[in-house]
Amino acid sequence: MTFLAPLALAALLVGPAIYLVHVLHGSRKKVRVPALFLWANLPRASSGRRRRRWPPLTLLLALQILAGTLAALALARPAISSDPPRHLVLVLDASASMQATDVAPTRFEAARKAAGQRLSSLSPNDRATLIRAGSEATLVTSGSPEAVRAGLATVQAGPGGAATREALALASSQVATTPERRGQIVLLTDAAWTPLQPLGALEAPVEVVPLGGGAENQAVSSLQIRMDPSGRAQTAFVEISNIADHAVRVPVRVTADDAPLDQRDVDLAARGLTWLSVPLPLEAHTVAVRLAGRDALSLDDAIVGVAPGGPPRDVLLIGRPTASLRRAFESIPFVRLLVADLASGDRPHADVTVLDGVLPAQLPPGPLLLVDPPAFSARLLGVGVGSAARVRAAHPLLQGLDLVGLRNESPSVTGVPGWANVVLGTVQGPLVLAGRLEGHPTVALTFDPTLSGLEKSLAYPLLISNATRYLLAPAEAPGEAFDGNESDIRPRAVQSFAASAQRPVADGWLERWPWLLGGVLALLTVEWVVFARRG
Amino acid sequence: MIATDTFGRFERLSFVSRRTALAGLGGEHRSRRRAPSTDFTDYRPYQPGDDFRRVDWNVYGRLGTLQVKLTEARERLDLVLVLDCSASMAWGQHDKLAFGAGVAAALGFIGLARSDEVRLICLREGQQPRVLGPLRGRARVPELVRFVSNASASGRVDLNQALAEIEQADGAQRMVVLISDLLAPNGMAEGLDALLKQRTDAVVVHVFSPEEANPRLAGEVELIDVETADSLELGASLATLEAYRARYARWLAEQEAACNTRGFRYARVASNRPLGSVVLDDLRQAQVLR
Repeated sequence: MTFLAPLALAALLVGPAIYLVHVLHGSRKKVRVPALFLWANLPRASSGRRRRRWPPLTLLLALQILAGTLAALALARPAISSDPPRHLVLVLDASASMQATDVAPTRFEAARKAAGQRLSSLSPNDRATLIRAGSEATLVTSGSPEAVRAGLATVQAGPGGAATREALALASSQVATTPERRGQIVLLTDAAWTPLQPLGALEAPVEVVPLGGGAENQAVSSLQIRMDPSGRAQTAFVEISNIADHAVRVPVRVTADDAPLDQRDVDLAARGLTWLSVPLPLEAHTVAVRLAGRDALSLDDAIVGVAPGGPPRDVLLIGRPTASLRRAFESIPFVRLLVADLASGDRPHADVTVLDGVLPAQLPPGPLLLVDPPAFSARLLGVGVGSAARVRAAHPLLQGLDLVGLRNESPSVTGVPGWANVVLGTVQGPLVLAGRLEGHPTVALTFDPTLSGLEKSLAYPLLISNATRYLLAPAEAPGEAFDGNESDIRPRAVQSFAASAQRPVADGWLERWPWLLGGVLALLTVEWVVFARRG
Repeated sequence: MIATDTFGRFERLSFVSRRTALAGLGGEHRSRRRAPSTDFTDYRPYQPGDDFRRVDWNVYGRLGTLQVKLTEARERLDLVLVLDCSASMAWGQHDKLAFGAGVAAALGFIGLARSDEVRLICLREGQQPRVLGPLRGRARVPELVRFVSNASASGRVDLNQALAEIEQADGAQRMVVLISDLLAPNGMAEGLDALLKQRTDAVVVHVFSPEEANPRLAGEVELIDVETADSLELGASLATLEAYRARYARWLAEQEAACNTRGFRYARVASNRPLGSVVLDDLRQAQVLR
């Protein structure tokens, strides 16, 4: 126990002062009488004629002195030593691998529970921040532990990877906003990550809480459908991988347009992969491959692909299509290219609509491919924090692409719109976005391929082909795509993160003056009641 | 401010003196002196040298002897009005000093209206008393009223000493009217004895405040004497107040007895009473006026 304002202890003299006032002035009511001799020696009359005397310590006087003493003590701000207030930043890995069920019910739920326990250890004076490390780092909420607990209940894991590095940087910046608090970053993750690039010194030490530990997972890691050069048959090439450390036999079912096509058991070596080739009917349109076995992660047990066979898909090109863009679509065997004017009111129905350089107020129905959309459009305004610099190499949009050529592009927008996820981006801004724009499955290429000469490279038609397939695939298009790297749910070595030298944070003091002040009010209330009852 | 508009009702009043007035001829009070007047008192046989005009010839016709009519002289009354101006007179909801000043003015008016010789003395602490008079004649009434109106209360007054020091004019007998609350710790017995020794006809008009008789006190109080500033701490309970009232009643009786045993008249009047009622009723009932 100490006093944060010890000079105020001088106010303790108020107790003797109150008594002195009673000595000097007394508590008796003064009454003037015409003659005193008539009152002398009456019953209960005091015979003393002293002007001053020591007043008896009545209840009222005792309450006054006690209230004054407590008020003086409150002024001195008594406090007991306590830990300094904390700022706990919880970074919750929301990658797809966190949905593995090797920890019941899932790794993510276990992480949520562990985060809740960490919040329970905080006092109401502490501060907490919750950051979701999904494909992007998102600040969920920051404030009191209870407020963060409410935000924790709303967080869900996603199908993508974990922007752990960005999340830790964001956590460090959050700690820096509260220099008076002792910061701590807790990363709740399954550690199924590729080694993170080096981070600078963080503002607070990082505690990594590992969750899960199994590797029991098999995945359909790739599905490629090729038309025979003769054009009379098509074949699906399926890649199935085994993450587990032991060989497994997995039943595989292949369907074409929801009709069973093939079913077989596949033997997979420990941490191995195998390729299957499945002949497809010429008219097959949509091909799905599913693993019937039970593993820890079900997200990667199925994959859906668009076959070039079947009736051609209509792609409507609106805007100012360049020749290279036309050629790119014409090279896709199952695409029938249609061109329409933006001002035309009678546009044909299409499976995918390409808006090249334009973004009309009324969006066409169906999936959209935006090529170099106008940067001034409000639909492309960036929101949130964080950089767009990332490469999701396993994303279907980037399958088979040489990304070196793409990285030289100059993005026409600088921020990441709220509706989109960044598939490829630089520090200047995003280059390839995917998401749902006003309900439309949308891929946006936010650069002009004619400026950098990308349109003349092989990557350009491949990127257009990937985008078309991505938008036509029914399972892939609606939301964020599954990140193939997430199939590897094996925990890796836990990295250590360097923290900058701890800022000097003063020891916390738990002040007790509010209790004393409450006591003063209570005493004054009692004094008033006693005074009122005595009349 | 003294309301003199009621004084007209006192025109016909006069003082009742238990001593023969000797302040000089020309008054309206009986005298032991025999002097030509219309007030017949007795006969005596004619002696040589008597005024022949005073022989009652009707008696001579019936009895055949010369009888001379004796008449009584009318003299002025030497009236001394003594007003207590101690601090206790200013105490109470109804100011005793103002009330006493009104009584003094009324009595002075009555005296002047009856051609008496009126002196007014205001007793003060530590100073010579303020004295007005002797006054004679109705024309001095305004001066009298002004004098008593300027009376102010302060300090304490020793009634014994004050009464003993009242000068006796020319050795003549006088009538002293003391207007006071009599709240003196030493009482006034010695003063009354001094008046008695001088064969002075004295009247004590005891002015009291109703709050004196029924004080309203409760709880722990510190009583302060308005004259001496002495204090007395008191736990005022019902028993205390009851004892006080008993003591006060006993004290009143003692004051009345002190006057009666010396042959002085005593009139007790409350300061909240109307002046007209006090003069016309209380003082007449006490045989001070008629």
